[in-house]
This record gives sequence, structure tokens and C-alpha cells, in this order.
Amino acid sequence: MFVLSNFRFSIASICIAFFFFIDSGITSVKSDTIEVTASLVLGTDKEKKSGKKVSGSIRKRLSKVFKWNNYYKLSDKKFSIPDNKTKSTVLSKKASIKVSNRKEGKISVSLFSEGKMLIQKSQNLRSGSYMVLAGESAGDSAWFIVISKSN
Amino acid sequence: MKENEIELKIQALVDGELTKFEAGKLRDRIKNDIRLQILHERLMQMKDLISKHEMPRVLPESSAFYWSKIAQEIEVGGSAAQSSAQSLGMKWVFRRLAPVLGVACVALLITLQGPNLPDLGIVLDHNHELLTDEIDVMTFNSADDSMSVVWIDYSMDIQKDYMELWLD
Repeated sequence: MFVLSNFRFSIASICIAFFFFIDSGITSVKSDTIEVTASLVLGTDKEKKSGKKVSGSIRKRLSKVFKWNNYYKLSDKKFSIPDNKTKSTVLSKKASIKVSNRKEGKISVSLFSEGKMLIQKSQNLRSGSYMVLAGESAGDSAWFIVISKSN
Repeated sequence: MKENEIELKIQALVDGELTKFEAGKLRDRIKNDIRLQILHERLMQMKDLISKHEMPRVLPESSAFYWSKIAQEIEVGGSAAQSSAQSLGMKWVFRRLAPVLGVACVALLITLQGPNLPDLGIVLDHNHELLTDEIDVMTFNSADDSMSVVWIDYSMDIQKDYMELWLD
């Protein structure tokens, strides 16, 4: 009887070990390379005929919160970041960002201007979600850095 | 030599348990000591009396019967010891595995409950660190629009910056 119960006990421990093996595999897949898009956007009421407008989804979201009617994309950077790595990109002469791929879908974004870090923000960013860093710009306009994840 | 030891030696001499050399040595000593002579004499008398007047005792069973019983007992004792050793081993394994299994079960439970947490998207688990004290920051989260906004009180003429970047 004792041998039988011990046998069941062993089977249970093997099953649990197997589960953890599978689970660790899933976790490692989750924390793979991510594709990040960072856009520098200008929010203004002025019309710029030559300006490239942002996508409908970004415009809709920004115009819901901010007063400006037009949102123009000045630069658009796409880059992939392996697990636990950091990549930097220059968006304008004075604005650059550093994006780190943290574990379990978390990213960390640092904004630099004129050689100093202004802010560092970390959050879980899912595909289809946006992280926006924003501030004032010249002539009643605003700058936006819109960060999204493709995978 | 202590008195008790001498008495024991004399007893051994009477029982014929000493070697020839030891017996000769002890006899020499007894010859020179009257007290030891008396003791030796008494013990010899005692031995003589016992050998002559001891009641004969008859065993109810033959000696072979007792030997077989002893052999059986040894056999049973051996197997019992073996089984108790096995059960001790099992207990040891159980004691070692029980806490590990407990921890594994708790971890399993937590992992299984993970996907059932309400999916709050970007609102959950976000933080920011401001590295310049003079700058004010305002954070806004919109779960409906899947968007988090950090408004930084920092002015940048991005049109000019952007143009300069490409002119450089």
C-alpha cells in the first residue's frame, strides 16, 4: 500500500516538474525580441500641406485628450530589441530615446534632451497600446513621442 | 594487584581457566600468602560440594530444539530490521519531498491564477522616474484607448530641431 501511494506521489511530482518545464518554455517565448515603433509627432492647429499626418488610430487617441486638431509625424523609427537589451534612437536634434526590453512585456523608455535624461518611464506595453511622452513646443504646438509595440 | 582481582584470579584458577604460566605464578603467590591460601581452599571446597551435590536438571526439549528456535528468532529479527530500514528510507524521502511539493503546488496555483487576473492593460504596473527636479510631470492613463500619456513641462521646438537634424 505504501509502495503504491509512493508511486502515485512520484507520478504527481513528475507531472508538476513537467508543468514547470513547459511553463518556463512559455515564459522564455514571452520574453523574446520585441518590435518597437517610436514616432515624433507635432500637434498643432495650423495646416501643413506637405506634412505627413499620423495614422487614424493615433490621431483619434491624441485628439480625444489634447486640444490640437492636426497631428503630423516628423519622424518614425522602427527597431527590434532582444530580451533584456536596450536600444537608442535619435528623433530630433534635441530629442532621443532609449528603450529597454524588460521581462514579461514590460518596456522602459528614457527620454533625453540636450544630453540629459528628462524622464524614465516603465510599463507593461501590449500590442495595440501606446505610451506617449509629450510637452510644449514653439508657437502653441506640442511635441509627442508615441511608442508602440508590434508584437 | 587489587584484592578483588586476586580473588577473581583464584576463582579462575579453581575453574581451570588460567594458562599454565599464569597458574604457576598464582600458585607461588598463594604459597606465600596465608590469606590467599584460605580463600583458595574455600573455593576448592565449594567446587567440590557443587560438583557432588548439584541437582541434575533435565531440559524438557532437546538442545537441537532450542538451537532451531534461536535460529528462527535471528531470521525473524533480521527481516524485521530490514523492513524497518526500508520504511525509514521512505519516511526520509517523504520528509524531503513534502516541502518541495508544497512550494511547487503554491507556485502552480499562482501560475494558474495568473491569466484570470483582470486585464487592465497599460493601467497596471507602470511607473516613472523624473530625473530633473525643476520639471513638472502629469500622467494620464486611458484604459479605453489603451494609451498612457506623460505630459512633461519641458518645451522643445521640434520642428526646428527636426529640420536641423536632417540639415546636419
